[in-house]
Amino acid sequence: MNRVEFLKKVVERGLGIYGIDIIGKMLEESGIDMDMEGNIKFKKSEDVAIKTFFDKYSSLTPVAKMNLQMLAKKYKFLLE
Amino acid sequence: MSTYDEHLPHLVRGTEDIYWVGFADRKVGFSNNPYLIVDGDEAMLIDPGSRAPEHYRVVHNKVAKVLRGDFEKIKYMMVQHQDPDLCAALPLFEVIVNPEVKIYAQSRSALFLRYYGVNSEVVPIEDGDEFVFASGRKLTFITTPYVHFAGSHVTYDHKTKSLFSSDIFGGFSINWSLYANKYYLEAFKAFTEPYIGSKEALLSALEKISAFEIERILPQHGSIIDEDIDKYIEAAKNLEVAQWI
Repeated sequence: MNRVEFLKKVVERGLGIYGIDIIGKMLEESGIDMDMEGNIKFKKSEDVAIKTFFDKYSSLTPVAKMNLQMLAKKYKFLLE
Repeated sequence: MSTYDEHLPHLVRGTEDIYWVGFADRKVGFSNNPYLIVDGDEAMLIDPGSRAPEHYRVVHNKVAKVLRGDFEKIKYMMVQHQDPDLCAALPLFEVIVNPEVKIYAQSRSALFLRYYGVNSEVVPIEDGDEFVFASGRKLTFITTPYVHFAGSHVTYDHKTKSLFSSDIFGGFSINWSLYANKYYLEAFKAFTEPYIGSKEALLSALEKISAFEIERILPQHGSIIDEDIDKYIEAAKNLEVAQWI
């Protein structure tokens, strides 16, 4: 799974954990535009934007960090 | 949509006598959902929860409100497995409820309750055992071994067709609501996938549960599910558990 597809999985899971307002803010602050259909545009480099998003995602609560790690195992995605 | 104030006990919608007496820890994204069944002059407290003062105080006060301070109505307590988020408050409640209180737990969990300092009679239960209130109302205990603990069980209330599902169908959510919202399916996956160690055990539990007509699921964590129940059961069948191996 490529990193954009993995990002979508994490966002989907994050909607359950955080709700749309917090996830929306995290995406925006990370420089990621995602519409309701899951179409993505990056306002800065893809690498930096995704890394920033994952850092924000996992820093707010251990539950989210655990889920990020678990999804990475599930989808065999290497988190940096 | 049912309205509720999460700071007050809440009569579970569609029922006349099942109260949610829990709380949501939004900082962690982890709600705890003890329930109280009040059946005539008898009450059963289910999975009473944490003994941390800030948690226990909430549950205690909600139970007191429902029973108007008459804690002796609680003749029964039940824990659906041995974890502290369900059981730690047992010693605090047992000294204020009915002195003859009996505590029900699956046999493989029952032996651990003494380690919380429980002194009341502990009644070990097995798969298919029934509990009957004085009114004749019947609960059936369904063991769900390894989901997530060997001594786990869930409980079906025949009167209201409610399943007290313990950790099954629980959720992690900072954006918590008492009744499942449109994001709850992912909140449910967020809790369930990391904590269940065997797909075989999960499917076995779901198979046993499917023998009952369920109108609502009352999990110990997360949100009450009383719509689209089949969707959640199907989703549970497709979970990828035991990922940490």
